[in-house]
Amino acid sequence: MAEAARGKDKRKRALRERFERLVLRDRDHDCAGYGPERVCVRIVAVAELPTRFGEFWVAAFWNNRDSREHAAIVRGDIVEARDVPTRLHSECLTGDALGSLRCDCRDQLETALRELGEGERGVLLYLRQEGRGIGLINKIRAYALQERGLDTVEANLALGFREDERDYAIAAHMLGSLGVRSVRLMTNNPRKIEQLQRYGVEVTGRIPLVVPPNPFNRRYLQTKARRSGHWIDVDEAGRPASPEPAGRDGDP
Amino acid sequence: MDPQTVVVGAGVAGLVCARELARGSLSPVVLDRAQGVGGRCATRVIEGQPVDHGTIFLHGTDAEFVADLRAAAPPEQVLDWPRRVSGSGAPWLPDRQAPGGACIAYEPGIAVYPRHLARGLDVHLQTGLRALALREGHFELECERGRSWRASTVVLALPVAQALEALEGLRDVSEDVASVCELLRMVGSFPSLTLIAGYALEVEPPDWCVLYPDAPSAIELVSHDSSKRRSKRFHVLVVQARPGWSKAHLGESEPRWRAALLEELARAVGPWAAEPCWVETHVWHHALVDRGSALARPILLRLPGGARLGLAGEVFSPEAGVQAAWLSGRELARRLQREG
Repeated sequence: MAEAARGKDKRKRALRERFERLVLRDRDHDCAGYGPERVCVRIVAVAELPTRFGEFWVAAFWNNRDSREHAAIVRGDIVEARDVPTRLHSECLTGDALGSLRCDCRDQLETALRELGEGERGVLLYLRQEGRGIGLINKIRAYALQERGLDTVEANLALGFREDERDYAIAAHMLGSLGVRSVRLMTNNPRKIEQLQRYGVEVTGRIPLVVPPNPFNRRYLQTKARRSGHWIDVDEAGRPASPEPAGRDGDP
Repeated sequence: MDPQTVVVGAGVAGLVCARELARGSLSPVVLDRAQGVGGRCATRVIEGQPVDHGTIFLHGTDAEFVADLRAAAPPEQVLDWPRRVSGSGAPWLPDRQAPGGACIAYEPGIAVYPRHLARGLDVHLQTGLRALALREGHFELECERGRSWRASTVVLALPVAQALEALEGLRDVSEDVASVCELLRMVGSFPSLTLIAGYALEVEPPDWCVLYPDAPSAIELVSHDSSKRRSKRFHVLVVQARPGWSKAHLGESEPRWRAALLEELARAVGPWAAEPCWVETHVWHHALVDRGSALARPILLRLPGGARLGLAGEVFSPEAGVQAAWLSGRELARRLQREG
C-alpha cells in the first residue's frame, strides 16, 4: 500500500518536472505562429487539478493575439505521447457553468472529462471563445432572435458565430506546446479533424461522443447536425449527439 | 445607364466601402442627406475658423487605418492630438485613452479625412433616401429632390434607426430581412447635445487639449478645439454632454439645455467660461455606439431575384469608434467583391 502511494508520488513528481520544463521552455518562446493570423501560445503555468471526474493537471496558456486565456486539462503523461484522446471544448458560460439546457455544452464537457478521467492519458483544450468582447451579449441576442422564430445564417454571422479558424490554429499550437505527438479526437464533427490536420496535427482516430438530448435542445441539436454535416451518432431512440449550435457554444 | 451599386450614407463606413468598391470593378454611387460628407466626422467653419463639433479626434490601432489617416493631408496639417488630456472622468469609449495606437486630428478640421475618402467618388449630397423597394429583382431607390436610382446592390451605411426605416419596405421580401430588422432593434445608440463656445484671444486659454470632467457632471468631454489651429481668431471649446444627460434633455428647448450646459462648463473649466463671445449648438441624434451594441461584422443578404443588400457601419464591428466604421465598410466591400 505504502509502496503504491510512493510509486504514485514518484510518478506525480516526474510529471510535475516535465510540466515545469515546458513552462521554462516557453518563457521566451516566440515562433512564427500558426494559421493566417500567426497566432503563438505559451504555457505559462501548470498545476494539479483534482476534479469530480478524476485527477487532472491544468495548464494555462498565453497567446499573442488577444486577452483570451485558454487552458488545457491534462490527464496523465501526454508529453511525447501518441494517440492521445483529445477533446476541443469551446467555452459556453450558460451551458458549462450555469447548466443551460438550450445547448448540450455542459453534457459534452462532463462526458469528455469523465471519459478522460477514466483513461490513462488524455487532454481537453478549453478554448475561451466567450472571453472575447461581445461574445455573451450576442449569444443571448441570438437566443432572443430564436425565441421570435427568427434564426437566419446571416443574422448569426453578424452576431459573430462562425467557425473561427483561429481556434484551430490555437488548438494545434497548444497540442504542439504540450508535446502531443498524435491525437484520437473525441468528436462527431468531421470539420474539426480536417481543420486540425490542416494545422499539422496528426489525427490517428476518432472517438465518438454520445450525449443524449433533452426536451429543450432537441431542435437545436437537429439544426446543428443538419447545418454543419456532423456525424450523427444515433442510438435506438434516435438520439443525435454533438451538434453545432446556432451560437458559438459547443464544438468550435 | 443605371448604376449597379448604390451606397446610402456618406459617413466613414459608406465612403470606405464605396472607395474599396471603386478600386475594384464596381463604380458605386454614394448618397447622403447632409450637405457634406463625413457624418459625425464633421467640421463647421465659424467666423472663418474650423471647429470639429462631432468626432474630436480619430483614434486608430489598425496599421492600414492609421496609414490612411496620415495620408489624408500634407504632413504639416496632420496633428498628433490631443497632446494633453486632463480630468479623471471616464470617457464613453475608454479605449480611446488606452496606450498604443494613434490619435490624429487635422489643422483644417476633421472633415479633411472624409473628404479624402470621397475623392474621385460619385457622391450626391442633399439626396436622402426616401424609400427602398425591390421590384423584379432590382432595388428601386426613391430619394429627395426627385432623384431615383435602380440598383442590383445597395449598401446601407446609416445609423441603425435610419437603416431600420430604410428596411421597412423590404421586411416581407425575405426571412433574412425580417431577422436582420429584429437584430437591429436590439442594438442602440445615444444622442449627444453639443455646445460650441468662442472666447476672445485675450482670455487665458486652458493648458489641456481635452478635459474629461470629474463625475458627476453633465459633460462627457470638453475639447479645446482651437488648440488644433495654428492661426485662430477665437479660443474655442466644444462641449459634449454625457449620453444619459443628452437623452434626458433632448426634448427640451435649445435655449434651455444650452444655458444648462454653459453653466456646467463654467463649473468644470472655470468662471471665465461662462461668458463666451458666441455660442452655437448641435444635436447629434446618433452620436455614440457603445460596446454593448456592437455586432461582429457587416451583413450581406442575397435577396430573392439575386439583388444584394449590405449593411455596414460602426455597429457592425466588435469595436467602437471611427476605426470600427472604417473596418466594417472595408470588410463589406471585400465581401461584395468576393461574392460578386
